[in-house]
Amino acid sequence: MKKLLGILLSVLMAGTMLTACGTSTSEGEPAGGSTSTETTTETTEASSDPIKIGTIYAMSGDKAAIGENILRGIDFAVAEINAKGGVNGRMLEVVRGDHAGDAATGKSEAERLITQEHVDVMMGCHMSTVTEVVAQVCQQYGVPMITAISTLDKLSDADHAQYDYFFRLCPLNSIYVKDMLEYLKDSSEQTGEEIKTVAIFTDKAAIGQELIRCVNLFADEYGIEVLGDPIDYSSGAADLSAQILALKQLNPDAILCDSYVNDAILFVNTLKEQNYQPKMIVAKANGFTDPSFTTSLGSAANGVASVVEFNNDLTNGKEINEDFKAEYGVDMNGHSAESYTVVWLFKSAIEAAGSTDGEAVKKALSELVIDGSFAGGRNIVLPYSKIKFEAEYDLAGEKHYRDNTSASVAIAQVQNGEWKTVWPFEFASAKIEYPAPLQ
Amino acid sequence: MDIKKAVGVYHRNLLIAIGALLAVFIAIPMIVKTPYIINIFVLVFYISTMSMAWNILGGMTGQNSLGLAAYMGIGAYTVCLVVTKLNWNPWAVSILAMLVTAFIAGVIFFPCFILQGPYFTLVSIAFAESMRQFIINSEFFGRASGVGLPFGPDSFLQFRFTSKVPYYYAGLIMMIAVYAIMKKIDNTKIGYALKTIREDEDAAAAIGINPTKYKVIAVVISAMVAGFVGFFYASYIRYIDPDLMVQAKSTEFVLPAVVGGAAFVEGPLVGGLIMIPLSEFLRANYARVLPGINMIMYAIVLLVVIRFRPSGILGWYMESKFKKFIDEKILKKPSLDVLEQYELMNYGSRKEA
Repeated sequence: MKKLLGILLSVLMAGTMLTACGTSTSEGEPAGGSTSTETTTETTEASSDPIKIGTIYAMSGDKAAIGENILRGIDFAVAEINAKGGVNGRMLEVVRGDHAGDAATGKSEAERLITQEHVDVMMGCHMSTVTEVVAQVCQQYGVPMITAISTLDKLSDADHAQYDYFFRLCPLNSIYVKDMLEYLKDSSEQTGEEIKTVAIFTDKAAIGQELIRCVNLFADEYGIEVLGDPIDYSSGAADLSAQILALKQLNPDAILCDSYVNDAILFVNTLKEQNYQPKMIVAKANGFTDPSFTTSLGSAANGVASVVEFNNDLTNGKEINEDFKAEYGVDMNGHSAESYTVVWLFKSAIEAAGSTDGEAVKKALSELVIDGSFAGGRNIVLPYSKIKFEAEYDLAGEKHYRDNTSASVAIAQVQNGEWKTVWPFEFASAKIEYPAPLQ
Repeated sequence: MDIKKAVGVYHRNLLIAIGALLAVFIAIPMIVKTPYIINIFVLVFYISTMSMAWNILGGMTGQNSLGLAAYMGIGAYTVCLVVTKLNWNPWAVSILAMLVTAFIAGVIFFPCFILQGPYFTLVSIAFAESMRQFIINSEFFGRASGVGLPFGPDSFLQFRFTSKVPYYYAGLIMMIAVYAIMKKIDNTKIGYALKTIREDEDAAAAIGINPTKYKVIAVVISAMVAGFVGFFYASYIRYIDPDLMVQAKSTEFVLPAVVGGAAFVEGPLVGGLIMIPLSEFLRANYARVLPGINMIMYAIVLLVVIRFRPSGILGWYMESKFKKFIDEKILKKPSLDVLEQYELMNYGSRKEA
C-alpha cells in the first residue's frame, strides 16, 4: 500500500513537472559559451571579450510562449549589431536565464547571471513580481537593467525612487488604459456611435488588477461609465461561460479585457458558444497579441481590438517585420519589438559610456535621448518617435522614476484573421470594423 | 568495563563526525565567496526545513499533505503585512506568524481528520488553493500584486541584509533547530503515537491513542515550522505574491523527503542537499540550450529514485555495504548486542540512583 502510494505520488509529481515544461525550443544560442571561466578575467576586460547581456524570462512553464517571442527580438537585435561589427568593437552575447514564472527562481537566476556569468547588463522580466525581485538584485550589484515589457505602474513609483539602475522602456499600465479609453472616445468618429458604458473582463492576477485600477483612474476624465463589478476569473480557467453570461447581462457598449493567451482564446470561443456578440472588445495586449491567438482562432477573432506596442503594418515597423519574418517565420510582436529596442538602447548607452562599467552605463542610460532613429541602426520601430528615461515625473498624481515618458501604444483590430492598426488614425492602415463581427 | 569503553569510543567518533560535518557547513561561506552558491545553500536550508515540516505529517504520520506552501504563504503574509502596516519588529512577528499559521491549520484541519488517506491529501490541496484564492481576492492582502518588506540599510533587528551570508547562517540554524525538534519528537511519546497511527489507525485507537488528537498535533507542528519558514522566505526574498502558494511549490517541498527517505528524520536533509543543487545545476547548464529540458531530466531522476529506491536514498544507505563499512571501520560501532547491554547497564544504574 505504501509502495503503491509512493509510485502514485511519484507519477503525480513527475506529471506536474512535465506539464510545467514548455514547448518552445530556441535556436542560435552558442551553447558552448556557458562554461564559466570564474574570476580570472573579471576585472581586466579584454577588448575582444563579448559584452554579455543577461536575460531573465520564462523559458519553461505555462508562460514560455511569451518568453520565446521576447528572446527572438533579442536574438534578432544581437545578430544585427554583431553583423555590423558589434559595440565598440566587441560582440554582444546573450546569456539566458529561466525564471520559470517564479520569483525565487528569478532571484537565483539573476544572481547566477551576475556573479557566475558576469553579465554587463540585464533585461527582464515579463512578470512584474519577478521583475521587482530581479531589479533588487541588479541594484545590489550595480548592474543596469531595462525592462522591455513590465508595465506594472508600481515598479517605478516612490518606493523605487532609489533603484537608479532600473529603467523602463514600455508604457505604464495607466498609459495603456488611458490610450484604450482615448480610442473608445475617438472611435465614434468612424463608427458613428458613441461609447458610453464599458464592462471589465479580466484575470484575477496582477494584470487584471492593474486594468481595473487604471480604468477607474481615468474613466471619469473620459466620461465613460463602468458597469457593475469587474468580471474576473483565475488564470488558466477551464470554463468561462458564467463570466460571459454575466457580461451579457451587463450589456455594455464596449468590453475592456486583459488575459493570458489560453484564457483569451477560451474567452473568444465562449463568446461564440454563448451566442453573445459584443459590439466592441478592446484588450490590453498580453495574451491577445500573442501570435497563437490569431493562429488558433482565425477569423473567429475578427473585430477584437487590442492595444499593441507594435504591429506589422505600422509605418515604421513594416521593414523590420519583413526581415524578422524571413528569419523566424512569424511576425514580430510588441514583445519582440520592445526587447529588440532594449538591446539597441544598451548598445547606444555602452557606446556613449565608452565602457561596460555598470555605473557609467547607468549614467549614459539616464542621459540617453534617441530621437527618431538609432545611430547606425533603424528608426524606432515602436509607435512613437522618441526614447528618453525621465529621471522623475508625475503621473495621475503620483511620482514616477526613470520611465520612458514618450512611450505610447497603438490599437489594432483583427480583420480577416490579421491584426490591422486602426488607431491612432494617422498611423492606421485600416478603418475600425464595427460592430465586431466575430466570425 | 569493556562494553563501556567500546561504546564510549563509538560515541566519541560519532560526535567527531557530526562536529566535522557542522564545521564544514560553518566554513562554507568563509571559503565560497560567490553569492550564487551561497544562495543555493540558502534554498537547500529552507526547502529542507519545509520538507521536514512535511515529513512529520507525510513520513511520520502517513498523512500525505500537498498544501504546505499555503502555510508558508500564511507565515510570509503575516510577516509582510504586520511589519509594513503596524511597523512591528520582524522577529516578534515571526512568532506571531507561527501562531497564526498553527491556529488556521488547527482550526481548519480539526474537522478534516475524520478523512483518511487520499481524502486528506485532497483536502490539503483544496486548502492551499482556497487560501491562495482568498488572498488574490482580498484587497487587504494586496490581491495578486503581492506585498513587499521595506528596504533600508542592513540591520539585524530588521533581519535585513544585502549579503547572503547572514541568511546562510540563519537558515542553517533554523534547519538544525527544526531537525533537533523533529529528532526529539521522533523519540518521544508523540513520535511513537504518530508512527503507530501511520501503521494502523484503528489499532492505534484500540490501544488508547487518540488519532485525531495526535494528527492535529502533527498538523500544528508542521504548520508552525512552515510559518516560520515563511518568515525566513519573506525576509530573504523581500517581496511575496500569492504565486508562493501554488500547488507546484507544495510538491517541491515533498520531494526532498521522498527522495531522501520519508521514514527517516534525516531524509529531508539528505534529499534536499542532493535534489536542490541538482535542480539548480540542470537549470544553469541545460535550460538555455533547450528550455524545459532541465525539468524533464529532473523528473527522470525523480522517477528513477522512486521506482528503484522507493525507501529513498537513506533507505538504501541503511542496508548498503557502504554504511557497514563506515560503521565498522570509521565509527567503530560496536555490535547491537554490546549496545543493548550498555543500555541495560545504564538503565540499571539510573534505577539505582
